[in-house]
Amino acid sequence: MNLTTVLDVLEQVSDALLEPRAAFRLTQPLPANTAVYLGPSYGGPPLDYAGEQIVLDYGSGQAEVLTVQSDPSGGLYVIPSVSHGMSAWVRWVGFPTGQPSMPLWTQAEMLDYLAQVQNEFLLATRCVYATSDQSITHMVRYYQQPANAIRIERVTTKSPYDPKAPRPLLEVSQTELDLTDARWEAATGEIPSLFFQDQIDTARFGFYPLPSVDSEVTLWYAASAPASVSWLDTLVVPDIFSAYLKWGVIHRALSKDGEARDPRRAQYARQRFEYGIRLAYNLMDIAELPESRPTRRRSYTPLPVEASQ
Amino acid sequence: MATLNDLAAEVLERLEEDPGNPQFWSYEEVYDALVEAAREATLISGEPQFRQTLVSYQLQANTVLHSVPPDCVALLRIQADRTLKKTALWDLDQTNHYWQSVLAQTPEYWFPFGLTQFGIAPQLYAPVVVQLSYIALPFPVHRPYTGSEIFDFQTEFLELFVTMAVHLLTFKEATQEFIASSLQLNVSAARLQELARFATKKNDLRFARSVGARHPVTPVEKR
Repeated sequence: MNLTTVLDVLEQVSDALLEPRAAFRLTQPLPANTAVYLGPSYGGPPLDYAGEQIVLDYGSGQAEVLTVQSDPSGGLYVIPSVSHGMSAWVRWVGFPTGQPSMPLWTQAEMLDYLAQVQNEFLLATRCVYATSDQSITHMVRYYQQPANAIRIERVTTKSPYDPKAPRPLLEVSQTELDLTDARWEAATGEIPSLFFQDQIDTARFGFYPLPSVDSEVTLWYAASAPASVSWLDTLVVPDIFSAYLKWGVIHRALSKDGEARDPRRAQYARQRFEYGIRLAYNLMDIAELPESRPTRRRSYTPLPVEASQ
Repeated sequence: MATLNDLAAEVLERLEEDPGNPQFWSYEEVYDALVEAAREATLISGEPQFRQTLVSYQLQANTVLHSVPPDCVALLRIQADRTLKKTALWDLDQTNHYWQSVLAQTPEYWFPFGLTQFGIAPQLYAPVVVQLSYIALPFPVHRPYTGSEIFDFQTEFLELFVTMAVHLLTFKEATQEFIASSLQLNVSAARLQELARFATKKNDLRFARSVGARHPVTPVEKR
């Protein structure tokens, strides 16, 4: 389980971009379901603008994200859904410069950047993997891969559908199948013996032979991160790379049109991000990621037969 | 042992700040920069002490995949009653298609499954406690740091973290100071290179049968 949260990364982004942020411990408790006007009487600065999101009780099981609201006189407040004791952490990264009409950056924008950066890192390195079960329906060849899958690395059969389960299905290409048997698409069998991912949509995969009965397989795949993130989410990328995600966000923040644009520092930030990717490659050589090994490169020999047969 | 706070004061001094009352940088920012520098050093060197980390870990019965400990950056070695042979998922599949069906008292092989999981073969009848060696995450605690966290590197390398943190922190100045600090980054990189070389040397000696003599590692171990 990772330690680093989205808030942790964006706090560091905020510091690098000279955007004020708040981090303080409450000097008096907060009651539940009551409007609270945070400010010096609670030990910290006043809230920045309506619509800003803040985190209460950071680091505890009671942590919650609240949206700042405005009363008719312009006073800014939040309504905690649970009570929070004295000395609880209150933290927010508001990117308040120019708010509310001409902001340099917004919270939503930064959250989007981080989600994109995290997936860019995972796509480049494929350092996190997952497994999930997939039902197979008879006479259906093509299936959608799991929503968080970048690429399927391995498929195994599941008992009780296959008496020899669990056993791996060999990965082939449709070209290999074509070269082996031009009529392969007509073949059917109870349990598939091969799977392929080429020449169909990148998020799909298919089986050979065409399954003639319902069954189930387990997919082993390189995992991506969610397409959107919230302040209390922990990163999917291992903690040791969290700093490089920060640089990826800074690169995007300094590359946008407008007053915030700074190509030179944006380029530096990009280089730091890419450096993190290179370091991840090195580390995975140590960890011996299967596809990084030369033997993983398939020869172009059509061999759609299980090695044990 | 130096703490984050010890080095933070030095960083602030190099940034022309008063460590007692910093204005442009906060201690929290400085801690973040020092942690970033330490983690980068670990990614580059993977050593020295970090690799020696040993923890007891219980492998569950009837389970192939296990999660690495939370502070594990990269798993290097597993020892049960004997050292498990490191292999790859692909190799296991090529050797025996039915390896996942095999059960035994103790595992014989382990393989990485990304950086966050590892697998064992064969599966176990009953849980087994093993020792894990891995590269460990520096500062495996939640932010914000208190400053009392120990900097677990040898003293002679501590300065490189200070110079690197100074460089990272000048980013927000966006001026000539930042450009000039690139020189500091080069100095840090050179020191990191030394650390990595020294770490490699220690790694080879770790397998020595006698002091100073290299153990002839097999290609599998070398991988």
